[in-house]
Amino acid sequence: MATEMPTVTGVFTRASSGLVRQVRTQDVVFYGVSQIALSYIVFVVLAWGLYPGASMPIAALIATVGGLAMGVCYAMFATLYPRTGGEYVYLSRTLSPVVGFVVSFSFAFWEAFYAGVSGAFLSLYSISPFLAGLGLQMKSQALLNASTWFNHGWGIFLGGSAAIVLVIWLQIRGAGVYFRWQRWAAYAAFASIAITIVVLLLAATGALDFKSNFDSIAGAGSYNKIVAQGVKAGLAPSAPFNLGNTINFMIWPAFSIWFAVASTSFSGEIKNVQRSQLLGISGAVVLMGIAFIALTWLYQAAFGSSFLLTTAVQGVPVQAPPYVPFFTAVAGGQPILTILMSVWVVFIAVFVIGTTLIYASRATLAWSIDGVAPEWLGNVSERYHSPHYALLVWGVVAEIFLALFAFTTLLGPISGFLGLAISFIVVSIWAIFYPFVRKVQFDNSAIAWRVGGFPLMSLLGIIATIIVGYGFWRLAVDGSFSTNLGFADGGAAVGVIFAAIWFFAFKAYRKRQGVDINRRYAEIPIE
Amino acid sequence: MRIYFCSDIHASRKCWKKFLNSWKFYEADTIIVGGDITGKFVVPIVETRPGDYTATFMGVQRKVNSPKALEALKVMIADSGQYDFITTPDEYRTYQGDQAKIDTLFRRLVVERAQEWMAEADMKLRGTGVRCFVSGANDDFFEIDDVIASSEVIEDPNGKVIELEGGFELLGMGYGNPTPWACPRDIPEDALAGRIDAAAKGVHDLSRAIFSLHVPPLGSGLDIAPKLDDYLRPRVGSDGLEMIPVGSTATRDAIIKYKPIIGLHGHIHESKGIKQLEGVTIANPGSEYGEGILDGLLVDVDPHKGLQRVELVVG
Repeated sequence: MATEMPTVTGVFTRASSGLVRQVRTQDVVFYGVSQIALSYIVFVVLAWGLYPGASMPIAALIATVGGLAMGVCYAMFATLYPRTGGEYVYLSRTLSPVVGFVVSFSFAFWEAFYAGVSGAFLSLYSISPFLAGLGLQMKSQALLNASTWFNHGWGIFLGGSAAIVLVIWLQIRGAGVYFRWQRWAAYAAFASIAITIVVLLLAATGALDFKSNFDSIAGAGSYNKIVAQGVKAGLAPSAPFNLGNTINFMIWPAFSIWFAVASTSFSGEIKNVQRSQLLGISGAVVLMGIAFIALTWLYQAAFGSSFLLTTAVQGVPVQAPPYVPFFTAVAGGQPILTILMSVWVVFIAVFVIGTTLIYASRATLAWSIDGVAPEWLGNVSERYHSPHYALLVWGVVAEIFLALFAFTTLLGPISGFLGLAISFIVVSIWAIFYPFVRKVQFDNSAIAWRVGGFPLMSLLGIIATIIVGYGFWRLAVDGSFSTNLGFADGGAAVGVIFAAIWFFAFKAYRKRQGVDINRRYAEIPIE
Repeated sequence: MRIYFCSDIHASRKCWKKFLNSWKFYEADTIIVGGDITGKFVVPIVETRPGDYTATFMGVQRKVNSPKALEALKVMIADSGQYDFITTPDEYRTYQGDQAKIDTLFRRLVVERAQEWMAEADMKLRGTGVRCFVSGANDDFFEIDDVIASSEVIEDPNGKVIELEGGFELLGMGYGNPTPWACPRDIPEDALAGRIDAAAKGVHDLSRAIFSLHVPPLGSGLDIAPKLDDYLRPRVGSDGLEMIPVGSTATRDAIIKYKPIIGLHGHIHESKGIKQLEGVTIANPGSEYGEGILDGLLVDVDPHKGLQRVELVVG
């Protein structure tokens, strides 16, 4: 007798399966949140005035939608090829080895760039405003002088170098040591963010009087004077809402939000439960998108839009940088709150360096294994099991970029975004075509979902390509706040060309050694 | 002599077919699978009505209603290293929650797939002159050994020393150190060391010995796997997976003590690479069987010059 079909037909597994369970979704969210580096919101606010009429929260929302579509594409590829190595693995195997290498090299190179520049950010946007806020509250000229020192040349370089050296040392000591430090730093950072949001909410609702606190350290009437100067200079009040500029401004919050995709660099073995990547990346993007939207709104509500727009250009009449962490310290009005609220800004800035170096060193390992980089770069320390040579090489590259940022005007805060975005745009476009070009693999996979018969992956790839593609184009042409300094455009192009030359040079070198690199990627035919 | 070595193909039909063709593609004289040839999943295909079938494969529900589509689904399942099981709703229910019954089913399907593979190998390799070695490893039921032994062309080096061309010798060891899953051939380190030592006594010339030891040496860089929590979930920090070495001390000691010409390993899918351990070249080709990608190693050895080259390939 026919009976009712069970509602769900799952697979059977052996008692001794050897299977590793899926990564926990909340872990992927946690990782994505770390990658997003909320402390970069400092220069999002600084750049806002350069896009008259732009809405920071709406720009953050657009970046979140684009990041969500792209992030799901990345997660789908990670589900298809659940291997350590991220886009290098699936692009080299499904699209082209040289494309996979070029994209991976470009991403690793610009990640190393940000290892260096993040060191500068630490001095400039985290330590300096923290010391300034504390110095003014405690009336300490020594702290104020230290703040000023961290805001220039050697202060930027040495502060950043200390963080880079610390992170490399921790990573060379092994993943276990590094993770332990970072885990506690992350817990402290989350607590600190919560305190910051409470303080900003109190300031936005008037329970804490930012204007009065500011006047008490900068002189009576200073707040109003700054706003009046801004009006006179045409910087304030904020222009009426402008959708075009809001969309253009999207690249600034995107610079942080889109990096949640980095979790695809690790995956497990079980493809049909890999949805932790899908949920994890989406969760991180949505969570941090909300954080960006909330914080940008709170900054405006707590400090005043005119004040923010004016100080971003004209600075403040005290010995302090005009950055939101400083204003938040002023709003809190207490040294202890200043210290507590600076924890996330400083800690995240330090460990962002770690995330960038980990990507770069892991990618280098993968290239070395595939024979397109020197073997010694893939050497893993027997004692600590860390890729020490790769870490040191990328550490040197990071130091060079840090020095360039500290002592020259070649680099701007998001100069490297264009180079990184090459990966975003290639993966987004490939997501459109993959289900058709690799139909068998797609149909076999755990993500063979269709909407009205059309592959969901392609649909998301189209949305991501439109938003990310627009952002990519804006990065190439946007002249505001040093986004496209010659170094960014030229550097992105040179990075791609250099990577291609590197790949073919290694291919030729290996051929001389009797090794055919093509054979390393060529599929054995089935008869 | 050129050796092609791969491991951990875990019942992937596609990988097995590639393996049988690898000698032609890479111009190899000897081909080896270093163990773990059986799969981990059975996918029930439930016949809901005569001619209508449904299955959840890779987390996606698949419905087919023609013999051709059913065959395509079965191939998809086999290519990914899983076993299909045509059943009825009533029979399906009898398996739910009954692990002993599921394990019995597994053993049947595993043996059937292995028998098909041996028959295919006999047909394709007979008369070619290619030496082919396949052994069970820690994940494989012992029943597999008899199936391998039934093949005309495949030799099983597990626990043995087999002479190769040019005076080289192959020592195989499919047993492994304990894993969290208590696999069929997981044994304590000292027992594993004893088995390797016993086999090594049969080697005539260690300088020409090729050790195919399934589990890589501990701390060799070929044994880095995700650290698991109490629920066997990978631990993730804010910077990614926490990776730790999980290799074998017995294997490590054997490589250092006997100094073979090369150590060939598998077991840790995500830890492919070629390394040196106390002057001995050791290698793990890794595994991407679930995607039908056959990761392998090409090893060139010369009777006069010894080890000439080791190369990772992705087939």
